[in-house]
Amino acid sequence: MVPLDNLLKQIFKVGDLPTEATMNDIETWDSLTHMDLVTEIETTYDIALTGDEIADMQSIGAIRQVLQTRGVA
Amino acid sequence: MKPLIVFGAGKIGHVFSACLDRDGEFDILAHTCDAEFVGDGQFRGKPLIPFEQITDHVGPDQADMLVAVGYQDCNRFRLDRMRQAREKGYRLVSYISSRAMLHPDVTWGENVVVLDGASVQAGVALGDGVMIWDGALVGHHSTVGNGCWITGSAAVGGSVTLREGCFLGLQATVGHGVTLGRRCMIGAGTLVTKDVDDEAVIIRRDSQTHRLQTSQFFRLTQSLV
Repeated sequence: MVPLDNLLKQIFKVGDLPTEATMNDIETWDSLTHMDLVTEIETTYDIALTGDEIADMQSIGAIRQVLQTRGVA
Repeated sequence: MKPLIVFGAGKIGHVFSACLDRDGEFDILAHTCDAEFVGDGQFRGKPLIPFEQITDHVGPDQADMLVAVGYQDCNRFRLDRMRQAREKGYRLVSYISSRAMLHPDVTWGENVVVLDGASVQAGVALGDGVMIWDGALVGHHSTVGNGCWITGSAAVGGSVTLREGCFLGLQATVGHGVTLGRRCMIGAGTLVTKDVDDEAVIIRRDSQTHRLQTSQFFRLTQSLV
């Protein structure tokens, strides 16, 4: 399974990924890239995210929190 | 004011006659339409007279006519009623909105309507029965065939040829130098950059519905400041 950090770097096309980065900190993270991220996470972890989870995932920490709650990270 | 009969008692007739009233160039004496649609015989406060009997009420020596109907049968209906009006002896007039922008050397035929905010550049020739709606652009040296219907905010590039009866939907774009065959149906939001044959239909899929609901999407995007 692709580690989450690698998945995020690939989607956002960045080399470094600050642990506490938010959508505002990463230039390539917009509402459309966000949906690419959601699709990639769902495929990688074999889960279906809810609309509220998708809307909550506005930082790296929040993404980790959602995946921990789902028991996949 | 010039006395006028408007053929049309539907939504298109309403829009066109309301613009005519506003600009004040024409005095609408009556509306007319096919007998089966006459109803109570009134439209926008004026007599609505069956087309079949119009000469008995307001003759061609008393008023000109504008055929203000939509693009039924890809504009054939309008062209057909224009022909019948001519056969009855009426002179077909054009209406160019006072708020449209036409270069002085643009030429147009009979029964042409150009509505508010449309822009028609130099060297353009508009045929008979052409309808150009609000905010549309017709680029320089283009030729628009008889009966074409160019909907609001459509964009026609320079040196384009639209043959008879074409329909361009909202925000359709036709690129520079392109020729559309007769009676092409170009849907809303499409882009045409290559010539197409007669009767071509070009449409695009609707945008997809996002999987987030509005409140969720706003919650997501409001953090992007």
